[in-house]
Amino acid sequence: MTEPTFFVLTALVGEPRHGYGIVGEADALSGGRVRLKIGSLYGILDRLVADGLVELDREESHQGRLRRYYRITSGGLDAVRAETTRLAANARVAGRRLKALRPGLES
Amino acid sequence: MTPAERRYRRVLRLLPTGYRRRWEQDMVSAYLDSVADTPRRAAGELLAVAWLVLRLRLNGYHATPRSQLWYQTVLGIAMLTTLYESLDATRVFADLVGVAVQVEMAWPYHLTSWWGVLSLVWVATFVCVVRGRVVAARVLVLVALIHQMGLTSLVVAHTISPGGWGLPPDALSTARQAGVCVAAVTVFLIPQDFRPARGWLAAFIVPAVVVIPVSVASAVLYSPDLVHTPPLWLAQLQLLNVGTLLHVGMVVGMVVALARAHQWLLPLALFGGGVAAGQLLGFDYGFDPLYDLRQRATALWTSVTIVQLVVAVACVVAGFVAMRHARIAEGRPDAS
Repeated sequence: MTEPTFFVLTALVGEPRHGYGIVGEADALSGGRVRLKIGSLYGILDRLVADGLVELDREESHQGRLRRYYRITSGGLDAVRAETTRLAANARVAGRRLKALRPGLES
Repeated sequence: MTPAERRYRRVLRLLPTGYRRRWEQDMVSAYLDSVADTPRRAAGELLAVAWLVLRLRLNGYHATPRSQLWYQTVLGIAMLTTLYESLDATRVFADLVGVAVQVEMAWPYHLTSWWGVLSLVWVATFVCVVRGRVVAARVLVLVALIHQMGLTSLVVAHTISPGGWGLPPDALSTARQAGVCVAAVTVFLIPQDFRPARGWLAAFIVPAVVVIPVSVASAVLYSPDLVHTPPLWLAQLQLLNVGTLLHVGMVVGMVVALARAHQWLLPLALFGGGVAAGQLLGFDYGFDPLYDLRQRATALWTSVTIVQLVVAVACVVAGFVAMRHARIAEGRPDAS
């Protein structure tokens, strides 16, 4: 799973969001590292919807324009959990190595 | 409708119809929210859509089988061209090391030796592509492109200067420039999630193990008085060069592709055809103006040229077979 895909899915955990809402949340969650363009976001969303990890939640009208909200599915939650476990395992391995190298820096 | 919305919708028309029907309203709405917050995003957003169009048209859920075939071909050509360039760069570097040893000069003995070292950026590019470091590969291929342009400028400047070589740029060097440009463009078309098989590293290491000692030995054993009458042993030694290994690899690759992996036929055919055409245009082996007339028509060089012709014909046949398979994949076997 690429980093932008991971943050798009994570942005939808907890509450459904519309396109630009996902962009803002991914930006905030990643500390400004993942700044999705709209074209990139909908490339990712298209794949996630096709894979059944994200689905349409509702449609609203905003300033005369249509806004679609998307929610994460149970499959999407499983994918985020699996990726989180993998990243955490990676971080633990790296942490152990760093601790062995410079024990004074680790609590 | 604002000018920004009109401009954005115009770009969205390039998207595949099914995708556009599904996502256009969403994208426009999100885009207008986005530019309302940060107006400077507009240019980047348009580029992102252009990139999305390219990816969807070639390799998305909405791409036709034929588009997917061409996309796989582009990726295959990217792998083959970067492999070729990295092997050639290794050969150039080994040549320069061999010359330095032969003339017993301290390194770097000339400006060109630095250019030779810089050409190794192709090796780094190939390794990055194989390891899936696509962004790094794109940066490196830009450096390689600038390096090649600089090298060409040096050669042209030396060619036209008083006392220079006096040789006009030939078809071979023109084909070489075209090859470098093709490699650069195709690397930029590689998607960021592209992960080629690890076996590609062996495709570099195995020939490099042959090319490095042969190039160093050729340069060390060569002496200036051999320019006009190169002995047969030198010609035989130089047969084990990148070009020969490339042709052997092409033949093996096409046989394997015919038996097991048809999607490789078209990239092999296009790449091999391009290289063979470039070498035949320049008469790389059969007619080198630096060589003595008696040496031009030796049976050795003639046979190499014939092999090149055979490979070129095989590439054309492979291309036709690949296109036939593409038509069958689309369910139109009688499309011709």
